[in-house]
Amino acid sequence: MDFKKNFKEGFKKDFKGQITTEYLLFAGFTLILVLFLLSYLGDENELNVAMSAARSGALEGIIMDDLAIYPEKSFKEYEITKKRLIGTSNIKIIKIETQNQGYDDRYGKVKIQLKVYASCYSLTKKVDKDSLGDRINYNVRKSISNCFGTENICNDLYNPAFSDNYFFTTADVKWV
Amino acid sequence: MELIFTTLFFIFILTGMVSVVSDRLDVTNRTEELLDARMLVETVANSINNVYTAGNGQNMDIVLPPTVGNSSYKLLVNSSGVYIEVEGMKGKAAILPMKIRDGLSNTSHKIEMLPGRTYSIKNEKIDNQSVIIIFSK
Repeated sequence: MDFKKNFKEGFKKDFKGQITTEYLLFAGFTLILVLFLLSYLGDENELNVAMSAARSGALEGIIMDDLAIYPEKSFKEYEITKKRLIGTSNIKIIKIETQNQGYDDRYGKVKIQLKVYASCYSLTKKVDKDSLGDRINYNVRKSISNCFGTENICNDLYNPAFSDNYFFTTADVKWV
Repeated sequence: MELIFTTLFFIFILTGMVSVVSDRLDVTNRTEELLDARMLVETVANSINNVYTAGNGQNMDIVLPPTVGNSSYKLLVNSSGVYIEVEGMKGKAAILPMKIRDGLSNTSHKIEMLPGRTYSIKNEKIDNQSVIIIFSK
């Protein structure tokens, strides 16, 4: 009964401006929190974008490998030394793993190593798989560089690929 | 206040998304191009094989598309396969080993097929041997 009475009186008194004050308190608190988290969130966002770019890069590499349509220089090499690669193959990406290898003094950025896991049953020779794996890795790094617009500070093989706060290298593709 | 928050949040997400989305679109376009190229080269190789195995007198027309994806291309045929070149990329589809000639000279070993044209593939007996003749119509 006490509660009911208070409730009714509460309405009668009409706490003017309470909502506004609460909102201001809440908004102020959130703003401070966001400001504190901003640098952390920015880094995480950058890493997310990089991973997404890595995935689409891997996809592009796999498409070239699958359809057996290569850049002209590689094609000429394969036609003589790795004839199997002239035909189409069937590759699947299992996952892409990241490993944070800490701050690197040379570039002043944090080093991230990417490792692509892929499977391919149509190829048996290790040299053939390595060639296709190198193409996947190259496209992963290229895609990251393109995404952050850092092609001009990378070398021809985009190794390593840079983003604003990180740089990326790729380990050999693990065939499973 | 809410509007400012929402807008800022939206912009934050959008900046991250733009590069990713444009990257994905590029990949999709590239995929279409390479896939079309592979399909075309296999179709041509298949047609040549079919004409060859069907025996003397067999004739088939193929119409080449003006582009693969959105880019121009180049098709080359020699006695070991059909090659396609598109945007600095190259691919090959193997054919049965056979003698190939174009309609003009008798000694050509490499035939270039141009986009957007119709070609006739013909199996003829020359000097007691099956020879595939490819010429533009």
